Amino acid sequence: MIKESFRHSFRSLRANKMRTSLTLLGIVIGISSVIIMLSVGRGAQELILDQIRGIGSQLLMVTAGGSAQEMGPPAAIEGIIVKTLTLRDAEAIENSAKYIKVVAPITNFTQTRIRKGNEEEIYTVQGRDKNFFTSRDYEFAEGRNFTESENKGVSKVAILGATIKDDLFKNFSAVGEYIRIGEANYRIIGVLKKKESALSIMGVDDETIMIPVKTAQKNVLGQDFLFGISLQASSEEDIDLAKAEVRRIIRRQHRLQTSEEDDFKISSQQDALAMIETFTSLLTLFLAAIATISLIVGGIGIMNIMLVSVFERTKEIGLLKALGARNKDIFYEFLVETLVIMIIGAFMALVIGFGVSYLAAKIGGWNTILAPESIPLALIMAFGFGIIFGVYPALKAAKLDPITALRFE
Amino acid sequence: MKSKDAIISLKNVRKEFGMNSQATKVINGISLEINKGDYMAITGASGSGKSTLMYIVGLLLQPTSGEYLLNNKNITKLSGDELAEIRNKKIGFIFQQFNLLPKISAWENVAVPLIYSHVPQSEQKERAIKALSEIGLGDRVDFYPNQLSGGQQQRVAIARALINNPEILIADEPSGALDSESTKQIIKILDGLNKKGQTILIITHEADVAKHAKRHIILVDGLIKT
Ligand SMILES: Nc1ncnc2c1ncn2[C@@H]1O[C@H](COP(=O)(O)OP(=O)(O)OP(=O)(O)O)[C@@H](O)[C@H]1O
Ligand SMILES: [Mg+2]
Repeated sequence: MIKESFRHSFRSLRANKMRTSLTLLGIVIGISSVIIMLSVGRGAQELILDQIRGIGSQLLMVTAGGSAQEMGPPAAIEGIIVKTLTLRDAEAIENSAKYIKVVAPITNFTQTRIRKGNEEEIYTVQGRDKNFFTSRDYEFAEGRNFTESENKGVSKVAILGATIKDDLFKNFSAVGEYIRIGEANYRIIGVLKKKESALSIMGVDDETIMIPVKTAQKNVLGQDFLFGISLQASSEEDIDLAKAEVRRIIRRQHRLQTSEEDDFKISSQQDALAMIETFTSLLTLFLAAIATISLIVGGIGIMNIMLVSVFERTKEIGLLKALGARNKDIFYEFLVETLVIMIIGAFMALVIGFGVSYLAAKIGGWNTILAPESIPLALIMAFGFGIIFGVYPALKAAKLDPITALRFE
Repeated sequence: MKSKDAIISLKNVRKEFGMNSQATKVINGISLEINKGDYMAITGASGSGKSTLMYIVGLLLQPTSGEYLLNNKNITKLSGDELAEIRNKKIGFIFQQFNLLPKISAWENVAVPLIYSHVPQSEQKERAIKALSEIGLGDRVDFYPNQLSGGQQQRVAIARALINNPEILIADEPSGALDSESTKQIIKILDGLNKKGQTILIITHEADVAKHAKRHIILVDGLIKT
């Protein structure tokens, strides 16, 4: 019986090509936009996560100030100045932490007037340890990293972000040139490669001038505390041990009693990953939910057209009943017709969704072309919406009184 | 007067449309027996209730009151689906306007009742083509209704009505939309079927057509005129 219904519905759909294609259009747009939103959301998530993973999964970051919630941002980012984290903490970690391979303190950053010849401009300046660049795989477009003595001393040398170099020196080499930061001249020793990262951990590296930590503290910031300490654990597996060890060391350094809260926060790449993953997943869901609205509109469209079809075929329904069709035969015939449209629509939507997602991936630069759940999802949506919007017209057809239907002109 | 052979037996059947005082009384107490092999014509003025009576006999309408026995079985209490099954197996309809489905071919039209009696698909075509050949349309099986003349369309409808070997063939003005030549052809077919034992009930307002039948009933205001 169902097979017969399929045969009939294909025939009736073919007979009403215009109407069928218009109905299909609504469904195809609805389902394909859900698919596209899912794949774009998934692709963007993949891209962001990849970039974070690229920075390294052995990395830990200690920031000054505790935080109200476990997953919340550190106090320093919220603009609260906490003065307790210092270079002595960095040294203590360097000297006694077993699970830490690299220690790289960084200072707060500040907007400072920079001069080069007669030009004057405001740029961000930050003190960073030389290990910061090596542990985080920074690459130099020209020049070099701080030497050991530059790093430890109060030397007036600077490394430029790519954008600043372009601003100040255009296509010319910057290494060996001087710029004035505050009251002193600094020799440029290196220029970083452009960080084409949507999310570099310190924000805008390309637009920052980096100088040695002590130089920044004494000459620019006038403070003896740090913004944070970047750490590299000895291995990825030891990351939790490393975290616990560093916490113990800093608490001891800061002479915190057992009852006192941490006045610093240690976050790992994993924490950041988890947080961003949650956020981007929600974003993807949200996009898909919006796209579902167009699917609902498509569904209402198909219901509308099925109701018109029931009306147009009133006499035919009466005839079929006279010839022996039971109510459920008529019901299935119309429901199957709706489902056939929906399923054809789902396949077309998959093709279109695949095409658009492919283009989006090309443009966005990610690898995920189709979210893997798209195929079952499209079919389930087609089937579900087919049932939801097909049942009412089918019931209406099935319940037609045969005589009323036969006499209908 | 009750005969053992009665296929259909109506007892004091009434039909009203609408409710209470507003109701239109269309059939006002008809008792009637149709026996196996009968060839019965019903005539009457327009609006006298002929079609309504035919729908009742054809199980498309439930009488408001009275009794309907089909093969000595009371069918007034059956469900819609049970009635559909009886219509499918035991009753063949022919309509004035042919009522073929326009988007399927002649043989597919003839095969429609077979779908609802769950005949396998392979057998459907075979039987439909055989039925069309018997009625002289063996060379038109793949034609669509709009490629056939009115007379040919009505013959397709007759083949469809006969496909399940019904107990009774019910025709409502089968020649009403046909010219005299086609009418003659259709009547000849009906006569031939009755000769082979087919029970037929025909509604017509043409005396020429009615006189072919063996019994003739005249309806006046929902009653049989005696
Ligand atoms: N569903 C209905 N509701 C109300 N009245 C109806 C209904 N069906 C039929 N009637 C009425 O019943 C009467 C008989 O109708 P019917 O179709 O049986 O007449 P008829 O004898 O077949 O006429 P004709 O020769 O014109 O076909 C008419 O007055 C018609 O208006
Ligand atoms: Mg009539």
